[in-house]
Amino acid sequence: MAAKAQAAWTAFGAAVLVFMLSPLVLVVFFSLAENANATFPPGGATLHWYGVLFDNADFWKALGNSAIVTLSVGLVSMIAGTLAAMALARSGPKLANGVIALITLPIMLPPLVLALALATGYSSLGLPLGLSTVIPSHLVFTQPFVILVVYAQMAGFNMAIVDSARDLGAGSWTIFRTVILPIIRPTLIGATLMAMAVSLDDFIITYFTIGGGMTLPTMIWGMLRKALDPSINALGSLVLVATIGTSLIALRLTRYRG
Amino acid sequence: MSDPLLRLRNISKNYRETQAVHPLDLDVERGDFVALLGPSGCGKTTLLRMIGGFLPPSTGTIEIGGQDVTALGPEKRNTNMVFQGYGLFPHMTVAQNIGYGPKIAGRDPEQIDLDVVRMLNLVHLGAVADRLPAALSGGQQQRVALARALVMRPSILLLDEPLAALDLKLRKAMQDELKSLHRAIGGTFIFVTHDQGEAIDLANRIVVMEAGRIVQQGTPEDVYRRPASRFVASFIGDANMLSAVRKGGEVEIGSGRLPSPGPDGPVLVVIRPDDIALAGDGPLTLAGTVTESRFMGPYLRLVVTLADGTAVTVHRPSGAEGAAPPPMGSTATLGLPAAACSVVAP
Amino acid sequence: MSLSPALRRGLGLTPALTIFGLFFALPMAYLLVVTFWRIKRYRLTPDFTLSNYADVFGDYLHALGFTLVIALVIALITTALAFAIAYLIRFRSGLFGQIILLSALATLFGGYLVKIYAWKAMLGAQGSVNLLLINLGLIDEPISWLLYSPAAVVITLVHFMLPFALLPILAGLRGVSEAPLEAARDLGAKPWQITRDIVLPQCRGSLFSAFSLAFLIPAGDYVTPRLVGGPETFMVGNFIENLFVGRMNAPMGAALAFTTLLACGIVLVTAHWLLGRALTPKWGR
Ligand SMILES: Nc1ncnc2c1ncn2[C@@H]1O[C@H](COP(=O)(O)OP(=O)(O)O)[C@@H](O)[C@H]1O
Ligand SMILES: [Mg+2]
Repeated sequence: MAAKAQAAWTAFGAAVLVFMLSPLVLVVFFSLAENANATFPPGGATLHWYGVLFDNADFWKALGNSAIVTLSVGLVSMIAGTLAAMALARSGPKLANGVIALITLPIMLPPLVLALALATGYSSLGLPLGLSTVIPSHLVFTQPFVILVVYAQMAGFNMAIVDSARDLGAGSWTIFRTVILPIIRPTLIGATLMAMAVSLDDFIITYFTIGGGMTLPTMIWGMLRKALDPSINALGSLVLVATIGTSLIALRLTRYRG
Repeated sequence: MSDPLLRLRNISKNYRETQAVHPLDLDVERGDFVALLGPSGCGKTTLLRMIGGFLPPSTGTIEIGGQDVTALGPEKRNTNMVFQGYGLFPHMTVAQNIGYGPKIAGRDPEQIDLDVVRMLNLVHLGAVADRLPAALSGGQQQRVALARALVMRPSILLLDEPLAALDLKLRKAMQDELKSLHRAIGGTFIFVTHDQGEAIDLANRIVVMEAGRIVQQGTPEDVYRRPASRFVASFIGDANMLSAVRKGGEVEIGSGRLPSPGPDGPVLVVIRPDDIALAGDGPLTLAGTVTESRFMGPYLRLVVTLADGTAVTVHRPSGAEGAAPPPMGSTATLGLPAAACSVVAP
Repeated sequence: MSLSPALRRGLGLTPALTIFGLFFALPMAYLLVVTFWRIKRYRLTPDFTLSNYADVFGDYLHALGFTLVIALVIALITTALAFAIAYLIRFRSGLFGQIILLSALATLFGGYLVKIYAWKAMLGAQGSVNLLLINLGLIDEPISWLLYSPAAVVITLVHFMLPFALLPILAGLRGVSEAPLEAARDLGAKPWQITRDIVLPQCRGSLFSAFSLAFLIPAGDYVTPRLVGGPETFMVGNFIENLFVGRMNAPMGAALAFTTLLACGIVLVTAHWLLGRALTPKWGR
């Protein structure tokens, strides 16, 4: 009876795992397979599609843009998010929860609505679309991740440490630099990496705010709409590896376990 | 003549490396109030959880009321548990907590309401029936946990360190309440504690455990007056342990001899500080010097150091008799009543 | 220079709130205002008209209803599945629990587009799902309605939302302590009764967060129906996008967007109420 139930749970777990991972595994699998239609039988193993991708000038342009956007968004999210999280940690839980509920609204809403609101706003102001409009548009949905993660750590922070540093004569900045920062640094970097992964992967907001340019996800979109281009699996694999790799490092650093 | 209500035979439990409970037998009679007493980590909770059905024993059988329940889970046993930390349902009111068991048992709604009200009165919680557990004091939470278990009319009520989370004063009050509850409903209670005072105060039978084994069981007076081992003697109350030697069924101590069957060799003579007389003239006396004398409120605590350096503690009532304490440095002759001495292995 | 604590707090929040205000609150408010404007000679013209909303109610009610139903189906499946997985991780601690959790966390932030087109490839007539079913002998020829159908949209979005729903529910389950569960068992409750009476009510909040997210994001998605939904499966997102991009009618697109948000809000409030009713104890006064 109990053994039967355990077996059923194991089967369920295996099925869930297959459901969750098989689409991603297949993309990577076919990026390394000869069959241009990405169907079975896959044919032999090859790096050909990566070669095709690397010969494509658009790829390097998109990669450059993605790098600029991701790094800028990461940096600004980290600074703005950390400052906000520290301020919230010092205020009462009521205010903190209110501000957090407000500031996480952008990740709760369908991105299409925000994308169109931003695009309409930019065009009314006559702002030229480009990376300079993409970056602030990303910030609004990446900074909540930094705020949430850093605030969670600060809320559990042993304030006696700060008090004893103050007791020993340290000023606020010294306390932050010598006491708080060393303790929260892994969390901080982890949270920033999460923000970067979200930014790197974003398609909808980027698409509506970039104008003519291209990032890796909008390049994938372009390839999807044109005739079959098998190197899309190679590009998809690279984006997957980049975002999953970043996420894994972030998880390790923040010791986040769900 | 009547069979015991609870009968454990050869019960043991091991977790991978640790043998939490070594094979043991235990009988509990109907109406008993049993304390499982022992230091932290000695296997009390493990034993209690096996009785409740939360843990399958590694070996042995458990019978309740003549029925073998070894393979049954807690939901199928007529026992109920008051958990360490209470385990109240945080999202249910006091009344809903108490009514949950009857509802699961399929009692009809009117009967449930009656049961709940009866229990609320029994534990004096009528005024807070609609509060959530978080809005109760520790003592009130404790009483909800009791009522929630008792409403099921268990044949055995199991309590795991029921009073450990309460402060001293509340603990005393709850001890009295538990005693009167036990009298009022006439049930069988088994509780776990590491507090010997609590065990002596509440139980009519104490089961002393050490490292997964039962080392002694009996009435509170038995375990206090006639400890079966050095461990029991030192765990329950203050005890003097005097080294001595047994030869030919007699132990030589001070001026006399104690009859004590057993093999020859070194032994310990255990005697409680309050059993020692100051002006000894019986057959067993010890001579020494008073090296410490303290007023402890209800009693005086004297330390008398014998010629061989052994320190013997003596408690004398401080109020009555008006006897002035012997001055420091004076010599004293201590009288040991033979009946109060136990001989245990060193 | 010592600033008052309140002022320091204010300064710390300034950058984040500025970003939020300039790039979220302001554009959203502007978009709301635009719903009352109209288009004259291809230009946005300030006005105060309700005609956009009237048109939305006239032309798009059907699409809105269809979208809400699909999103509801997705949200229900996702929440139920996520609860089962979280239950597995929290209470069964089997081999797969930790691997599933790690996979969910690792793929949380990655591969929105990649996941969609992966499903497009897998669900097609030549795709691996059909291939697998044929090889298992479960079907004789490919199921044609797997791709370019509402079913494809549901499968794809359940897959995408699952990690997002799993994490809050798991956090909720971790907050459920052991002793009350044992107490319930001691009082005679069976596993399903314990789940219903003790576990679910205690993670009501996190169930609702998961459900909300798994409902809202799909309700506004347009990429998934575009790529795997086929010509029949138009969701509101597609119409909104088309109104903005194809027909250059921002006021009507915005009106449709806000109507959708409002409808979603009503669905969520109702869901919250129903969930509360279902999970409130009904005995003991
Ligand atoms: N789940 C478990 N796994 C491994 N060892 C355990 C477990 N539970 C208890 N033990 C060990 O069994 C012994 C007895 O524990 P317990 O019955 O809780 O003691 P007590 O209640 O007397 O303090 C201890 O050494 C404890 O470390
Ligand atoms: Mg214990």
